[in-house]
Amino acid sequence: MKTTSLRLVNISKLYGKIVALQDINLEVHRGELLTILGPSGSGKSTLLKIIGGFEEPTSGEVWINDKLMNGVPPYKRPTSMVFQDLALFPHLNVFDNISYGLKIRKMPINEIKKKVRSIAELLHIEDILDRRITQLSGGQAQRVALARSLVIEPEILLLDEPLGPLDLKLRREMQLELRKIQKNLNATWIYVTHDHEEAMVMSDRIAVLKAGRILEVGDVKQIYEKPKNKFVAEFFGETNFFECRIEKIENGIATASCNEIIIQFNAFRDMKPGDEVTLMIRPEKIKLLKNSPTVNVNVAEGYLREVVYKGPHLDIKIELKNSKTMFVRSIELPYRIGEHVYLTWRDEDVAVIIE
Amino acid sequence: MNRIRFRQIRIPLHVLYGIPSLVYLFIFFYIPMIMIVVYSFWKGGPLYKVIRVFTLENYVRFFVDELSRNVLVWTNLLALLIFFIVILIAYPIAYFLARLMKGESGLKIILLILMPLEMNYLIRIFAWRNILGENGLINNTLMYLGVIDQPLTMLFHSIYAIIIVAVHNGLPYAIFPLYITLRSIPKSLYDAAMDLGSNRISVFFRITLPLSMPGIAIAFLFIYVPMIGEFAIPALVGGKTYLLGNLITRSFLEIGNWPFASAATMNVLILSLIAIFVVFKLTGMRWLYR
Amino acid sequence: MNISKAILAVFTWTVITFLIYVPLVLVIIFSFNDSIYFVFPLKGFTLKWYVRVFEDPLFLKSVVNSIIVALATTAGAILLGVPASFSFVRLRRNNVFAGFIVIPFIIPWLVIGVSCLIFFYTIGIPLSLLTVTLSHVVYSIPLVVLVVAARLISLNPNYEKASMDLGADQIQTFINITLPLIYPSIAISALITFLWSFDNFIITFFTIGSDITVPLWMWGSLRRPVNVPLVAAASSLIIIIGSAIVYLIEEYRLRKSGFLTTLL
Repeated sequence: MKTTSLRLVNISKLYGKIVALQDINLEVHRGELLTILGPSGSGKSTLLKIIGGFEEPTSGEVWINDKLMNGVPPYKRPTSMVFQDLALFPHLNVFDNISYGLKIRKMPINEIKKKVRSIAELLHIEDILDRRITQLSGGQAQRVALARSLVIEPEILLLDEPLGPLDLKLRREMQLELRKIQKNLNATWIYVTHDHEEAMVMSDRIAVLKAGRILEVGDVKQIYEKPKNKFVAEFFGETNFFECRIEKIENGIATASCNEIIIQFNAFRDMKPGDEVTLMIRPEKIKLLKNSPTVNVNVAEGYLREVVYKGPHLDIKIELKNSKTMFVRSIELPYRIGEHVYLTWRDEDVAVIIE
Repeated sequence: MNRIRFRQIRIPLHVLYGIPSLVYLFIFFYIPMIMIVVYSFWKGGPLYKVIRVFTLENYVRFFVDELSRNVLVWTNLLALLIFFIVILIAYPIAYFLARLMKGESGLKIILLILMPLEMNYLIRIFAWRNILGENGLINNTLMYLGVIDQPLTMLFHSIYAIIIVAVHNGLPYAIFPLYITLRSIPKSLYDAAMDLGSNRISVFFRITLPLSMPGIAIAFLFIYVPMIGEFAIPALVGGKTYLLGNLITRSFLEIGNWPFASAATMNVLILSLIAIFVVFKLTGMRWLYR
Repeated sequence: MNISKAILAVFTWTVITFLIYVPLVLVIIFSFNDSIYFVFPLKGFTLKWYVRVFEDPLFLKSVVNSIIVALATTAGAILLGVPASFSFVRLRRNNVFAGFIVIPFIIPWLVIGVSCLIFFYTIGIPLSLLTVTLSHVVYSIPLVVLVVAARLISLNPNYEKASMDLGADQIQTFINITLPLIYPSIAISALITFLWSFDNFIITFFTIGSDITVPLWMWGSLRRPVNVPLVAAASSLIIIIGSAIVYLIEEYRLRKSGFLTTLL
C-alpha cells in the first residue's frame, strides 16, 4: 500500500485578477520523486511555495501526513526547500549553513556535528565544511544547499530548479546523483523544472503544469509515450499528430483513417466507429523503408526533405504525399535527400490524445 | 600601447589622467596633514608662540590634564551615544521601507528623508533653536498654556539639544545605507531560514541583523566620524558643552596654541582613520562607487 | 504581522514629520512672522524680514562671495576630478591609490579646514576667497571622482569596444560614446559640488580670514538676536531654492545614481 505524503485539494492562487494556479489536485506518495514540469510562468514555483508555506493558497487545502497545513508557517511545516538561487547564508560558512536548522532546533552540539558529518559524507562535501560560501563552486554550492535541507530530515523535500545554473555535464551528473540519494533515503521529493529531459531522468512520476493547471500526471514512461494531452506530447519534443476518424473496432484494435493514412491502435473501451480522434506517434518509433511493406496499415510514404545531425541521432523531416510533414528520428540514414521512402510503426506505439 | 614616453619611463595613460588630482591632493591635503603632524610635536604657548623643539607634551596633556582628557573621552562617548540612538531610530524605518513596502515605493520616501541633507546644516541647527530655545516653540507654548512660568533651560544650551540636533542630522545617513543593504538581501534567504525552522525573531537576529552590518558600518562612518570633529552644533545649541571640535577651534583661533591644537586635531584624525580602516575592512570600498 | 507593520508605518511617518521636517517648516513659518521671537500664536504676517535681508549689504556680499567660491570650486573639481575618475576606474582595486583619493572625502571637514589653515599660514598665503576655494577643491575632487566613476563602472565596456570595432579611434569613441553616456554624472557631480561648496561652513570657517560667505553670515547673525529673523528669511529662501533644485535632480538620482550621489 502506498501512503500519501502530500495531498493538494482544489488549490487555487490569485494575484489580484491574475490566476496563478487553478484547481490543483495532486497526491504525492511517500518515497517517490514527483516532478512538476512546466514552461516558465506556468505557476510551478508558486505551487512549490504553497506547499512550503511561503504563500497561502487563495482557496483549497494542503495536507501533509493527513494534517491540514493551511495557515501553518514554514518553520512549523515538515517540509524543506532547496531554493532556485540556493539561498545559502553568505555570512555563515558551510558547516554553519548546514547546521542552521539543527541549531534552531536546539540540538546538542555533539549530535549536530555527527549529523552534519554524515550528511556531508553522503554528499561528498566533508572536506569543505569550513569554507566560506563565496569560495564554493556551483556544484559544491548545490550540495551544501541540499545538505542543509536534508539534515533536518524533512517529510517532504522541495527542490525549485536547483540545477539551473550548472553547465550541462555537471547537471547530468547531479541529476543522477540526486536520484540515487533520494532512492537510498527512500525520501519524498518534489522537484520543479522546465527541462523535460531532466524530469524524465529523475522522476517516478511527472505532473505537467501549464498556465496554472495540471494537464496530466503519470509515471515517466506513460507520460512520454502515451500522453493524453496534446500540449504534454509536444512539450517532450517535436512529434507527429494525426487527425483521424475511427472506421472499425475489432478485438480491441481500432482502425482509423487519417488523411489517406490508415492507423491501427489499441482501442479504449468507450470508443466507437465514427469517433474523431487525434493520434500521436513519437519520431523515434517510426522506421524508414526503401521498399513498400506488404501491409497497408500503419504505413505512410513521402520524400526525404531535411536532415539535422544531432550527434547520437538524426532528426529527419519527411514530406508526405498530402504535403504534410512527419518527423522521424533515426540512428542512421541510408537514404539521400529527395529520395522516396516508406514509414512504418507498430500498433502499440500509437498514443491517443484526448485533450 | 597607450603610453606617453618620458625618456625611459613609460606611464600608462590611465595613470596619467589621475596625476593632476594626485598632485593637487598631495599639495593641499597631504602636505598640510604632515604639517599638522609636525606642529603637534613642537612646543607651543599662547598667542601663537611656537618653539620649534621636539616634545610630546601636547599629546601627554590628553592623558594628564583632566579637562583635555575629559573632552576627548566625552566627545567619543557622545558620538557613540548619538550613533546608537540614530541606529535605534533608523533601523525600524529602514526595515519598514525596505522589507515591508511593496516594490520601489520605499525609495520615494527615502528621497523625502534625504532631501533635507541638501540644506545647509546651520539652517537645520537654527531650525532646532526655534523649537528648543529659550524663546522657542516649546517654551513659548508651555508658557502660553500656563504649564510653566519660567522658560525651561534644560531643553536648550544643553547636551540634550546637541543630541537632538545630531540625531536629526544623522538619521538620513543611517536610514539610507541600511535601506540599501536590507534591500540587497535576497528574499529567499529569509524564506530559507524560516524553512529551516526559524521564526520571525530568530530570522531577524540570525539573518537580517548580521547581513545588515555593512549598512550599520557605513552609518557609523557618516555619523561617528563627523561628530568627533563637530564644533558648530555645540557652539550654537550646546550651552557650556565643550567638545573636541570646540577645543580645537578655540586653541587655533582664540588661545592660539597651534601645536596643542594640532595634537588635538591628530586625535580626531587618528580616530577617524581607525574608524575608516575598520569599516573598509568590514565592508570593502566598493559601496563608495556603486 | 499587519499590526507590527502599522506600528512601523506610524513610527516612520512620525520620525519623518517631527524629527526631519517640522523644524524646517517652522523656519519658513517663522520667516513670515512679525516678531523677533518665535511665539505661538503668531503675531502677524509680514515680508519685512525678506526686505531687510536684501537690504543687508553684508548678506548681499556673502551671496556674491559664496557664488564665486562655489563656481571656482566646481570648475576646479571638474577639471581635476573627471580625468582622475578614469584613473580611479582602472586603479580602484589598488588600495593605495584609491585610499589617497578617497581619504579627504571621509575625514571630518574640521581636519581639512585646520590643516589648510596651518598650510596657508606657514607658506605665507594670506587667507581669502582663494584659500577657501583651494581648500574646498580638496574635498570636491574625491566627490566628483566617486560620482563619475560610479557611472563609468556601470557602463557596459562593450559600448566602447563596439565603437572601436566599427572604426572609431579612441578620441572619436570618447567624444561620441563615452562622454554622452557619462555627461549626466558629470553634470550631477558639478551640481552637488556647487551646492556643497556654497553651503559649506566648517572648512570655510578656518580658511576665509576676514571675508564672508553665506554660511558665515548666518553664523554671525545667529549670535545676534535682532538678526535671527533675517536668518530665517535667508534660510527659507535657501530651503525653497534648494528643494527646487533637488526636485529637478530627483529623477536622475532615483534611476541612475550610484550610492554616493544619493547620499550627498
